[in-house]
Amino acid sequence: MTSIKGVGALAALLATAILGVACGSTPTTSTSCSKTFNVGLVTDVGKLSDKSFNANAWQGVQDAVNDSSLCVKAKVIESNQPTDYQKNMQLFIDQKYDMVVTVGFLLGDDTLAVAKANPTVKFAIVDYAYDKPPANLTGLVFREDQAGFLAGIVAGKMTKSGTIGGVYGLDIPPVHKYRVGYENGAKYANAAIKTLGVYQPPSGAKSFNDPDWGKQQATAMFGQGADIVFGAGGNTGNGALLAAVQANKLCVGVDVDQYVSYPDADKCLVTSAEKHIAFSVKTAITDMVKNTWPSSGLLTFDATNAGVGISPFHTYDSQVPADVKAMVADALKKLADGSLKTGYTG
Amino acid sequence: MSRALRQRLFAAVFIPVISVASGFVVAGLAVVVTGSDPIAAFTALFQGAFTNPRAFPETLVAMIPYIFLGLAVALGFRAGLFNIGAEGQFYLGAIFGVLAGNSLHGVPGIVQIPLALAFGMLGGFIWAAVPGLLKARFGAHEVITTIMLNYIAFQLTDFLINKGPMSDKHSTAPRTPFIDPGAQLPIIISGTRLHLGLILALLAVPIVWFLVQRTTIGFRIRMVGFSQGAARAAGISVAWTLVITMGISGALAGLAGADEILGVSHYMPSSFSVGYGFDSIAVALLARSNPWAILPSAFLFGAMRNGAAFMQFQTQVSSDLISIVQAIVIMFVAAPVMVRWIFRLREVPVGGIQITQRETAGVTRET
Repeated sequence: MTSIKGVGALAALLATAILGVACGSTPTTSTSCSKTFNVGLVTDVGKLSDKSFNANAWQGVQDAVNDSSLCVKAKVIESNQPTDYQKNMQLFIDQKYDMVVTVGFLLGDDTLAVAKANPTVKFAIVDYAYDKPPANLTGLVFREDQAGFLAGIVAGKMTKSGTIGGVYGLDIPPVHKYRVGYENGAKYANAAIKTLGVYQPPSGAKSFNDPDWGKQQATAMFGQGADIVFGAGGNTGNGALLAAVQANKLCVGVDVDQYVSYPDADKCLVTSAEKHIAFSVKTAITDMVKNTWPSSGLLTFDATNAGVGISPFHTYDSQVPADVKAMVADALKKLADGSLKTGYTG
Repeated sequence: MSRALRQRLFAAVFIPVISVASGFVVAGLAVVVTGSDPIAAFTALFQGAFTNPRAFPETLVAMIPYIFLGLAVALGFRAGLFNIGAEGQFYLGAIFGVLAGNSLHGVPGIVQIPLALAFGMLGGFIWAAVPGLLKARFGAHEVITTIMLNYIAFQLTDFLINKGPMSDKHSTAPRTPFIDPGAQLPIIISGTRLHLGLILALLAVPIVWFLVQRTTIGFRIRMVGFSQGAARAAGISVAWTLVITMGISGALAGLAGADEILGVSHYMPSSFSVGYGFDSIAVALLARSNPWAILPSAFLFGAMRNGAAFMQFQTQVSSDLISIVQAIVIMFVAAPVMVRWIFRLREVPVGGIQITQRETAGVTRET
């Protein structure tokens, strides 16, 4: 009976697949490392394919792995749902990992809980800060105002109409910092500039996630003479970028290089005010390896440590004059040495 | 072996086993295409589901909502209803569970826990009874109405959690406040997350079986599922039966949601579940709507969901691979005729394709 044969073959295949052989571990490439440090990354539900925070954090982990002086090995687990966060961190701990990196405020509570329960393991969380965390946990935060300031210089120099716009997410500290920096940066570059800006009012589920609203606001600003818009508020900000594409205006992205993360906006995107997430993660890993773990529970990334900046100009590279590029570089240096302030105060 | 018995065995055992095996083979091919080793991946999946520290209890934790939700969907199938809205009812149960879980301070857990679970059932009941009513009264197809109510459930809970009245004002993350410590379901194995919900889920299986097989309501449900015309001729109120079936189905889904809050997360985050309710359609199909068979089916899905993380850890194959396995399983289970054709099995039942939809839902086995 042929039917039995078919079933039997399949069953055999399945048995091999399930029982298998217990040699699943990956080969090690230890060179001169006396000790190898294992680092695990747990993403939020956005997963690695977000081309944004998760993807950049994983890049930072891989940068650490590729730096042979650190002797780091790393794995990633993508979270399918919020109840996976603690479980996935625990999986790394059960596998005797030295450090766990988590991404974003969605993991804030769970990272704190697991860190408290496992004082011998180091934890770092991207773009989140705690009030008095345990010694093994550090937040990685960014000076958004400085990134905004640098992007503001570009906007202030690139505008032809002398009016620039900004569509922002909710009026919370990181967003407020971006706005203050952006507007002051534009004024620094061009004292006569006129700035338009609007925060999204609290909108329930649509907070940071209302591209239609963002698009309307940006379009209204174009009507008032703006010819470049800064979209700083998740999907709400992305809506502003789309409006710029449609209206043939310029735009500035936020957080990560949106030329990569949001190709829909490539046509208008001059640059993005960027948090160097990969760099921050690599820094935290380095601190763990070199035993220079921050005692404050906080690592701040700013102009002094190349933790913030602006993204490459990509297709606009030839249109951004050399003196603008020089001004950005000069401002970055001055922000670092403290001779230039963004105007953001506490 | 009699022909009837063979057919029964074939439907209950061969089809599910072959479907699952085929799912793994196809997923294995996908692993090969992405340049990884399927044997290593599935070995890790097995280790992550069973043999690693905490793995087995975690598989049971993941199995709990699948049992409740699988029963919910299966019950609908028995009345010929496709409750695609289990995911939305799951959300409603969770938000109702949170509501009762953090608004009754000082009430002892022995009172608050059952109350919160009952509240969750109420949320799911309401959310499912509406499509039941729409179907009974206006003939609106439940597949469409339950899918649409899913979206409303997602957006409604998202609003409540994000900046709405149920958001935790002290947290930057979009979530509700934690439930009262007393409202948490007790852990039954210390050092793990395995909670009392497992016992509740295991109890739900015989209860649903009894409901379907040994009660008047159950008889009406089966009768309506077998033939609405015959049921009507026998004096059964089809409309009432549809509403009550959807309601009970939703209550089970809501119980799953409240249980997940009280037992595992202790608060409700946004994007609370990614597909438990949808997976459960597969759980019910694989079990052919038999309440007892929900157990192995839910166990399999719990194991796959739990083991996926270690599979990714070990081989860095994306945990999304499990979705491929599940999808293939559903396709095969939903098309027993296709299975027979691919594997050259004979005994296509009388009526052929026409009866497969009912057969899929396990309805024709009724006598």
